[in-house]
Amino acid sequence: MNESDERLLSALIDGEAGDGDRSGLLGPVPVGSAASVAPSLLQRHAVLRALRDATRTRARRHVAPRSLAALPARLAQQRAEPEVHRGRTGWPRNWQWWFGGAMASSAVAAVLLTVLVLGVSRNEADDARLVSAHLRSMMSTQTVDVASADNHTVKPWFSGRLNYAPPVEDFAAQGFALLGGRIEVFDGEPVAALVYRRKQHLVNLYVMPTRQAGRLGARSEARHNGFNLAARRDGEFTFIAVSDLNAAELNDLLKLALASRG
Amino acid sequence: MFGLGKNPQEQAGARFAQLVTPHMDAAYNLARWLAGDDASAQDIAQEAVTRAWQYFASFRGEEGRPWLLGIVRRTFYDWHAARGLRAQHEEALEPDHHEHVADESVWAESPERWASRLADADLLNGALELLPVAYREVLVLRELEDMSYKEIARAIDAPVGTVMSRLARARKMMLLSLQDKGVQAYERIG
Repeated sequence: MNESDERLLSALIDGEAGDGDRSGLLGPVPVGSAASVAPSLLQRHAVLRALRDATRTRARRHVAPRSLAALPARLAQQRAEPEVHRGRTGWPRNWQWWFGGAMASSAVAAVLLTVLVLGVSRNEADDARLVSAHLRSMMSTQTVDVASADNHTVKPWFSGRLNYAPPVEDFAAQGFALLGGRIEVFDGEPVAALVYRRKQHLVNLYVMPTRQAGRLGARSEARHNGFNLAARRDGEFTFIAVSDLNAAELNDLLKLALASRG
Repeated sequence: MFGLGKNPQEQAGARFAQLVTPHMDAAYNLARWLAGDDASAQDIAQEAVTRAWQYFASFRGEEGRPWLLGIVRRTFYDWHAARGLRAQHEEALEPDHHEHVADESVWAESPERWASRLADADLLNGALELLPVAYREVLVLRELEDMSYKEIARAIDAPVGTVMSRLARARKMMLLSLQDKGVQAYERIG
């Protein structure tokens, strides 16, 4: 049996073969004549059908763990928004929500002010991506793929996975302990993510060549869904820190990172 | 919320709940079959659902499942690439260089012999796990998610003809593997 016959037989099992295909497989079929189907063909059909039935009944169906089943509700709650297009003014379309929230609590009013002052209309989608990468790493069973405070371990780990060598330093003495590193993919490009701990907070520090950073590094400070983002760059590298730490502390880390490059 | 009426964001949220939220099991099942272990599958599925949430504004269709599963698959390949398996990744995306297996012995065996092999759930699951990823994904979408060729084509971003070929090969490889000939015939990719 040649390959195109096997294709047709398989499609026939799935009820996806057109009438034209069918006559190609069986040859011209006289109306009402079942006898023209070769016995060997029937046997192949039976084997494939048995395989299909067995796969459907015996292959494992993995059920979503509870954390995943609950994720859509959590996302909706966090309002890590299904991206809503905004007007050019930068005034959020969901201003009623913000307004209501501001009425409800002065803490939210402070956030509202921050958001407006920093300018929501700049590339907020990029912030969302950086924050969701951060969130994901927090939720993950494995925050880092290479766990080490030793830059001589972390750096070589990256070198096999990136087309650049990111600067890696531990700043434990200054209050930012290096936990290790990971790769994130933004726009199809792998990017180094360094993870630091400060008190009980984790910080993701994304390090990428400035020419590759593009819009990602364009905002020096932003806030998204309660997370702070801060970015700094020099001619060679762009550093973007994301955490629930306050912006001042994130800037401390960025200063350390830039200074360490001497 | 707050009695101020439904804003566009809430409408998008409701649409997401209707079109995407019901498919968390399907998303996890695909991620689990692609990644091969629970921890990776959780990471991939969580990332995919988060991406789906963010990209949802650009989704205009009415069928959430093929759309979501397409994102799960894409996320898996990104995850795969991020682990430095780029060469294998490219091979996985361009699988059609595999030659037709001319081995006809699978068809020659008696239905009874096949019935006893196919009754062994461990053997069957093992054979599916060993399929190259491009074949594993179409078979999982077809047999476990009961998707049409058109839906599978949408999810894997390929023409219906490719879906048809891959399914036929996937089945032949399954049979060869169950006959214990598949390992030599096809190197594992994913």
